[in-house]
Formats: sequence, structure tokens, C-alpha cells
Amino acid sequence: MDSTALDGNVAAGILANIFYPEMTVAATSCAHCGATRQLGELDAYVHSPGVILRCTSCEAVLLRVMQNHNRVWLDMRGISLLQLELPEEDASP
Amino acid sequence: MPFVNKGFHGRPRQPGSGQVPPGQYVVDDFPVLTAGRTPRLPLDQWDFTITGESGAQLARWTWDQFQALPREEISADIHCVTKWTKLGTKWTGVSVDTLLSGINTDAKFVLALAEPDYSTNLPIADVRDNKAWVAFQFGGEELAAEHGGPARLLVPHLYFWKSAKWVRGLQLLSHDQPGFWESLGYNNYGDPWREQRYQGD
Amino acid sequence: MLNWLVATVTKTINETPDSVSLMLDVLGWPGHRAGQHVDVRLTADDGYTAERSYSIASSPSSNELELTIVRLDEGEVSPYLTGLAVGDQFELRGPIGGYFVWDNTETRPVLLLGGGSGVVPLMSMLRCNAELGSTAHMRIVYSSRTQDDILYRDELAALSSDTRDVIITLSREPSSQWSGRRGRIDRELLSRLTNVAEGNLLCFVCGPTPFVEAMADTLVALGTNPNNVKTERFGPTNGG
Repeated sequence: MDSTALDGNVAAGILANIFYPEMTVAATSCAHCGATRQLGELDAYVHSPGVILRCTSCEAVLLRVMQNHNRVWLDMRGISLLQLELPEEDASP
Repeated sequence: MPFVNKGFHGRPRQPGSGQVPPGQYVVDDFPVLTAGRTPRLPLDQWDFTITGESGAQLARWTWDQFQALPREEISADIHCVTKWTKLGTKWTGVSVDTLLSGINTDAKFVLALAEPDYSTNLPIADVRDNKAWVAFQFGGEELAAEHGGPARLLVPHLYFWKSAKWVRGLQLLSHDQPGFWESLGYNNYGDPWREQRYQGD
Repeated sequence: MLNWLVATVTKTINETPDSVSLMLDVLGWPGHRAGQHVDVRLTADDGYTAERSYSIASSPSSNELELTIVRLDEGEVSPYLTGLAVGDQFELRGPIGGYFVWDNTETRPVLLLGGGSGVVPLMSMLRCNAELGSTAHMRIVYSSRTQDDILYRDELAALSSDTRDVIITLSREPSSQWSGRRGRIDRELLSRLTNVAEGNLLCFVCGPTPFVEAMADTLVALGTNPNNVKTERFGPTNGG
């Protein structure tokens, strides 16, 4: 671990304006090494106005996001699988 | 009408004037922005390579070989896309002209490759003719790891994300290829005087 | 959607010589969960902006939002916020973060480890636990430098009960009048507090990055399930 890393939680603000379910508790699988962790646990690097989320096992980039005014660029190639929980009222029958 | 906090001044800065590009603030400190863990590469494992368009290695220097190349003292103003500008920074480095001097190429673009998985693209004309260096000293001292040491690219006429920290080589390209930030919405060229921060600027 | 809201200061509390708690009335506040944070944005009259994140100190059931700000002299935002008076306003958005939260529906025993200002979101959890009469056992170990730096000192003492345990350890207290624990939170203390037989202990660790990483590594080394260790790193310093 590196003292410049923060937790994936710092991406919560920008992701809350893109995704409607809570993203910091979504399970992310690393496309490089397969490790699965909650997004909030990933190592986050803030390069304002961008945020980079890296795998805590292998350091590969899982997610990159940048927002300028009302435009967002999102690269999630580093996530091979994303598992989300929708609110109960949106559950399928 | 945007919200304004009366009495809030922020970090010490002066607004742009004359020699400072639009939208920038002059600062005295040297903020560190990073996209990953600070690499700690031992010098005996460091090398700098120039790779041709076909992928062939055209030149390579170990640290000792690199230190033996003619070096220059550079004084430059540097401009970060996050709006801070530092005036008159002093660097020591090897000119990219020196590194390309033995190489015959028609390549129009370069991709600077850096640790751990970073890249940034530039037209080859922007790293030639006294515009770019591989710098290994800042302010007369060894370049600190958090600022890109042992060596970083230095291209002061463009926004500072183009001055790749922990640089390890240049890939010559016939076609432009967006690097790490350029593929995530930063401007492909990055001229501070035309405020080319993001795509579409 | 997270929109910027306007917060108005209704009360200021000088917690320590270096920190202030701000009680805020926020128009349109949707409520929050213990452990969440807000982003605060300040704008200078030349358009320059600075943003920082601050953990919410108040319990979800509190009428007002409370933020506790530690002033860093070299900071951009904290000196301004700690100088605010009743009636002053600033922008914030939130609540943010579903990862580092504790709800009172949670029945597992909880261990809270806070370093310096890392105690702030943990205080929200303790206050929530107390106000809602939760039976979940909650223990906080709070590492600070000196007596003068202890946030919420009297309230922490009052929160102790048979299901809530408070341990404060000071690393730099010079006075012999402190009869509490001294030193850092070490492996020996954690080993006593994390009985591995209670495999369902939930841990929240918050504070400067080096503190959080040391605590989290030790908890896992002692056998705590990594999935039960939630961390919130504040960075190499405490922001500012």
C-alpha cells in the first residue's frame, strides 16, 4: 500500500451522479488478476478532476473517471464483472 | 450567479498576467498529483529506450550511459491543467534532440511511456528543436520520486501532464495514439495559451 | 443525484484549540447514515474553488448536521471553515459513501479504531448506537496525541455503558495527570480486543493513511476476516 492512496469511497461523489445504485458497495472483479472487492475498498488516486481506482492486489487500473462541467468520461475496461444491488422496489418478480 | 464565500482566499496565488496563460494561478509550492503508487525504481534497473514505428528498439541508454550524455540547464514556467503555474523552475536534463540525433525517422508522433502504466502522446515536432528534455534534477538536486524521479519528461510549452513522470522511453508513431489522460477526456494537444485542457476546448 | 446544497451555520463549538464543530441547517438535506461524508466547496470571488471531504459527526437521527473540522495552518479550506460564525453559509453535497457505514439494524459487535480526526465518522456511529438504544456491542479505541487534542472528550466518557466501551490512548501527552493509556494502538491491544472466536466482529478504521494501513494489516494478521474490516483513509496528512 502507498501513502498517497485513498479509498474508493472518494469516487462516490462523482459516481453517484452517473449510477443510481450505491456504487461503493458494488463488487468489482479485476480484469487482470480476478480479485473481487467492493469498489469502496479499492485504492483510489485523485488527479483532479479525475479519479483512478486500482486493484489492491495487483495495482491494475479498474476504473478511470473524469468530469468536466457536465461531461463525464468513464473507462471501466479494468473491471471484468460488476455486481450491483438494486433497491428492493426495483427487484424483478 | 455562482455562490461566493466572502473572505475565502485559498492557497496563496496571484492571478494570471502577461507571462501566465489564461485561467492559471501562480503558486510557490509544488503540488503532487498522481494516478498511482510512486514507483521506486533502482537506478541499476533503469533504462531509457527509443522504439521505432515497427516496434524495433532504435536506441537504449542505461542510467550511467544517460548521465554521460550532454546535459543542459533549463529554466521554465510550468503549467498544470489543474490551474497552478510555477514560474522560473530550474531543471537539468538531456535534450530530446540529443536522444533523437542518431535516429532517422519519418514518424510524426511520439508516445512517451512511463511507470507504472502511464503514457502521453505528442506530435514529434513538439519534442524537437529545444522544446523537450528528459530531466533528472530539479532545483539543482536529484529529482524526488514524488515529482517523477529518477527522470521525467519535461515539455514546458504544454500542460504539465504531458511532462510524464517516471519516463522510460519514447515510442515513435506514424499515427497519433491518445495516452492515459488523452483517452479520458483531457485535450489531445494541451496548449496552455489556448486553454486546451479538455476535449472540445 | 447529488446536488450542491447551501448549509447555514447555526452553532459553533470549540472542541479543542485546533478544531471546531459546526452545527448546520442544510436546506433539502435528505438524511444520512452513520459514517458517510459530505463534499464541501468554497469559491473565492475570482472564481477559484477548493473542495474537500468531511465526515459527518452527527447521528442520522439528529435534527442538524454536524461537521468537525480540524484546522491545519497550511490548509486551504480548514482555516476558513474553523473561522465561520453563526449565520455564515457554504456549499456542500451529500451524503456520500455506502461502503463505510454502520446502521443500527446491524447486530454484530463492532470495533471502531480512530486516529486523530479519524474519530469523526466513528462518533456518528457511536451516537447512532446510543440514541437508538442499539444492543450491538460497540467499542472504540481512539488514538490521539495529547489531552488537548481529544475530540468529544466529555461526551465519549458519558457514552460508556455496558454495551459501549471507550478506550483513549495518547501518544504524546507530557503531563503525569493523564491516567489513561499511553502509546499507540499496538498489536497486543488489538489481539486482546479481537477475540478470533467471535468471527463476526465488524471493524471500522479511520484516520491518516499510515495509521489505517497499520491497523488494517494488524487486524487481518490477527485473523480478522478482511471482509469485516472497513477502512477510510484520510491521506498522508489530514487533508486541510
